Amino acid sequence: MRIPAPHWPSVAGRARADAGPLLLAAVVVVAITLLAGAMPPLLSATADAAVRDAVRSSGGDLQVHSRMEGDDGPNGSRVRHPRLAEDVDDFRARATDELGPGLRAALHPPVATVISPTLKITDGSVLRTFQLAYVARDGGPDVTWIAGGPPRPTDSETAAVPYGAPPWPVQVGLSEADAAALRLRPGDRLPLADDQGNVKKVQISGVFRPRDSADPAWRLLPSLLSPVAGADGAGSTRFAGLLSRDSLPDARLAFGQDELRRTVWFTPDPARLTWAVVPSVAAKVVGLKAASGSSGARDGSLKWETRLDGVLRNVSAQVHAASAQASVLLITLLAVAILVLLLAADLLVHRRAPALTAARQRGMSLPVIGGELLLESAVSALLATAAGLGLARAVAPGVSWEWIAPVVVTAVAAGPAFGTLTAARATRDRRVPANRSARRWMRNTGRLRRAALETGVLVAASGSVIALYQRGIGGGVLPASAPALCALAGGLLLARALPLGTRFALKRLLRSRRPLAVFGAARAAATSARVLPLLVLVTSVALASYALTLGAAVGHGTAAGPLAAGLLRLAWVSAVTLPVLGLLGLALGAAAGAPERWQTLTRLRTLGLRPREARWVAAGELLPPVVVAAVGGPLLGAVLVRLTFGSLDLRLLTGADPALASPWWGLGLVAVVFLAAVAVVVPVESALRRRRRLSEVLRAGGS
Amino acid sequence: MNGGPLVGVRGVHRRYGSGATAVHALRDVTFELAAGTMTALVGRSGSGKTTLLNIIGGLDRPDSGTVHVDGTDVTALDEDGLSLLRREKVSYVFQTFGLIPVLSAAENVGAPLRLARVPPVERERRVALLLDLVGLAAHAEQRPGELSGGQQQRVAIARALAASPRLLIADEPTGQLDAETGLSVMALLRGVVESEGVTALVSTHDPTMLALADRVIRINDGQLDEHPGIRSDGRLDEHPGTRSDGRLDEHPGMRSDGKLDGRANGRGDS
Ligand SMILES: Nc1ncnc2c1ncn2[C@@H]1O[C@H](COP(=O)(O)OP(=O)(O)O)[C@@H](O)[C@H]1O
Ligand SMILES: [Mg+2]
Repeated sequence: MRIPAPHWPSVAGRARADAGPLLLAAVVVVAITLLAGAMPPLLSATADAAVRDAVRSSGGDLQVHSRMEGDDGPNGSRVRHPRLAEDVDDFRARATDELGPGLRAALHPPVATVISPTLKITDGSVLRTFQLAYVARDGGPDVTWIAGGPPRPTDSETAAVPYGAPPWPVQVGLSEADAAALRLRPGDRLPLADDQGNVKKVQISGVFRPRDSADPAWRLLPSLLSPVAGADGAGSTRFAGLLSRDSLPDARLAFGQDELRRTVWFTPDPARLTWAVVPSVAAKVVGLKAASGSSGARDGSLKWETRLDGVLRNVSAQVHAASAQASVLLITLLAVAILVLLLAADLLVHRRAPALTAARQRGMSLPVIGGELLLESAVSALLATAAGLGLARAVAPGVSWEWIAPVVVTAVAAGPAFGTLTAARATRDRRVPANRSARRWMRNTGRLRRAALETGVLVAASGSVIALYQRGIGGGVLPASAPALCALAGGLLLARALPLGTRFALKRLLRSRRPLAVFGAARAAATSARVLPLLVLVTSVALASYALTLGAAVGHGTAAGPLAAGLLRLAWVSAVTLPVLGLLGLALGAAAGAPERWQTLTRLRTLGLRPREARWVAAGELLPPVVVAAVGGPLLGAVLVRLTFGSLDLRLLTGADPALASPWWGLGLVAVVFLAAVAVVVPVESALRRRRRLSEVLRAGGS
Repeated sequence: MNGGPLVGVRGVHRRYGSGATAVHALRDVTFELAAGTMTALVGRSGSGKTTLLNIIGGLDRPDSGTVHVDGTDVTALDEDGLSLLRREKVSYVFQTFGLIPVLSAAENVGAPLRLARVPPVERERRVALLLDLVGLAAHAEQRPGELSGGQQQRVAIARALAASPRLLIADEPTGQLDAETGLSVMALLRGVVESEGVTALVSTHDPTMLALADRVIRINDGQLDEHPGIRSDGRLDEHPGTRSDGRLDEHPGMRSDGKLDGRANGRGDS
């Protein structure tokens, strides 16, 4: 088989002659690939920020506890355990190991603490409390001793203490601020007792200054650095003394066997806790909590405590809801853009029909015709896609391909498909068959084809709504397509009603004395059977209303996080882009109908119709579908809102169930813009033709 | 009919384009049409027939010269004035029929009456009468696309007569019809000129149609050549607008240099 070779000059010439519709289609592709390419990366950036914010504001620290081993010695005594600090280090390392690499990477290095119960300072009337604390992270936190020195052991390293012995002495260091507030100096004893009135023998070894008071380790017990007033609401002031590796074993003996609480703390690192790692991190956290030993176990098993899983669960639900809602909006944009591209291809083929028919009749093969058209559409669509993605790259932190395919495929394929079909029809007998039954058969085939299409859309629309109700908005592409598909179905329904309406109006008007209305209605009745232009108008207005209502609902929401703001922005972008696409559709539809319309108007002009009157007739033809869209679109949009809003999970973003306030001013504005567009299209059309005298128009085939 | 001239064309020039590629479609065309007559405008393709008809009907404007129709200076009218002229005085029949595809035959015929705001009852009566006249009463509700070429042209003739114009201009009305159908359409035109009392100017390049006309005007390369007998020596012909003594005739717009029509029309030759 011969490989069909394109004829370059004719490809280029054709593209030049129809630069307008080609350019328009390219602009649509640029705009939609920009939106669809930029949206997912923007959304995941917003999701990262949402995760960070959630962790920052609701806290996501992980704590792990483990009871220390018993220190019972022989003959009813307790034994001093000199390597207690090393045990704490082991515990910290073990906890870090248990995290696993994924979770570990999302957390700051851990801090281990051993903290005593709260004691009362028994020197005065003011309620003051005191805790002893050992704090350790890798190599810190560092302190410098400005008076005295670090706490030392108070006895032999391996002393044994009989049960019931007097309080075991222990040394602690005090921060400058605590020492000053308590008026204590190295060597002083701090009078302390626990809740049961047991006296504790705590001596000040020295006064320290933290090397870095912002060290996260200090955050765990701020009273170590300075007195904390009113923390318990009872007007008490908290103080704390710092234990050293040497004095930790003494502290153990100074308290009951299980009174010191040994904890390792992990704090999430917001910079590294991104949306992408949330699923694995959340799963690991849930696993750790599930595997935690009971608090009573003395087997060294770890007991994990954290709200991180809950925090991540909440933020995940929000992000899923937001991205599902965003995909709802994106799908509406894609649907209308695809309709506009189909309309542009239709216009192009309309204009080229004579040339395509002639080429076919000259014997040009269908693959060559289709190939040349494909070349043109592929080049322009791919250039436009590249431009759109380039722009997306400039405004977003990345580019996503997942949504652009339907638009690019339509832009590439629609023109060649329509064109090849038109050319193929050229060699078949196109005239209406004389045979009555053959005519009926043709009519019926056409009707059947349309009915099948409508049934298909209706089935898809109902399927999407059912999927939305059953699976929820996060259930995939089908439920997310519910508004777009329902808008299409509604548009098809209105496309059925419009011809009935215009035919009825024409019948009434024929009896009237208003010639312009009659001529306009006659044209409208003849063109109202065209489905695609009306479909673009109705779906664009309906979905713009939907986007406006969604935007208003999210905007009214109280707890507008960064996620809600992103969705809000997309809703407004959609609410503007959709009507613009609709207006492009209006222009394309008008351009496709213009030759026939102005042929009729020229003929009426030869009968004495004035130029001004011709414009009214043109407006009379263009208005019915626009009025249907301007009135029916917002109503259809309201139906879509009722049908789907309950399942959109908006409350996850807005905090409460959003009030369903229809933004009437916005809907009114869209309707007015569409009606005004007719008032622009008609004068433009007429101005484009005014240069030519009637005689020239007639000569050029206008008669 | 009063028998006086309904149409007066004086010194009309029409040039398309400019410079070396300019086409002189009409050169100093002058003639008159008596009311109530049917005149055939004959000439080869490209001789300027359509240009001349368009200028008379106000669809086009001459570069110079004047056109009077029923006392109105067509060349002085603005667009609205021309629209009114077409609504009230001049109607057209085109080679390509020019019907409104989305209207039925009856509504096509009624369209000029709607524009003239004729009351519905009267309009319907006249439409029925005219459709009957052109033999299409049975096809009133059919769309143009459902009619044959000959039938469409009959509808166009009925439509052209609807508003009772003074002048009916038909530009090759049989051009797209077979010979037999063409002849019957011509005969119909001839008949309605009689019955409706309209003045008709019909262009054709088909010599067999000429027998039906009261008068034949020949056009050749943009110049009138009304009678084959016109002489190259400039001697007078029997054109009703000129006098045999070579003096100026009484029509306004006539050349004031005393030269004769024949000479004037033949200026391109000299
Ligand atoms: N718009 C135009 N531009 C240039 N030349 C034209 C135009 N219209 C007509 N002509 C030329 O004017 C001459 C007369 O044309 P026309 O009036 O259509 O003749 P006819 O109707 O007798 O065939 C022809 O040579 C034609 O080519
Ligand atoms: Mg002609």
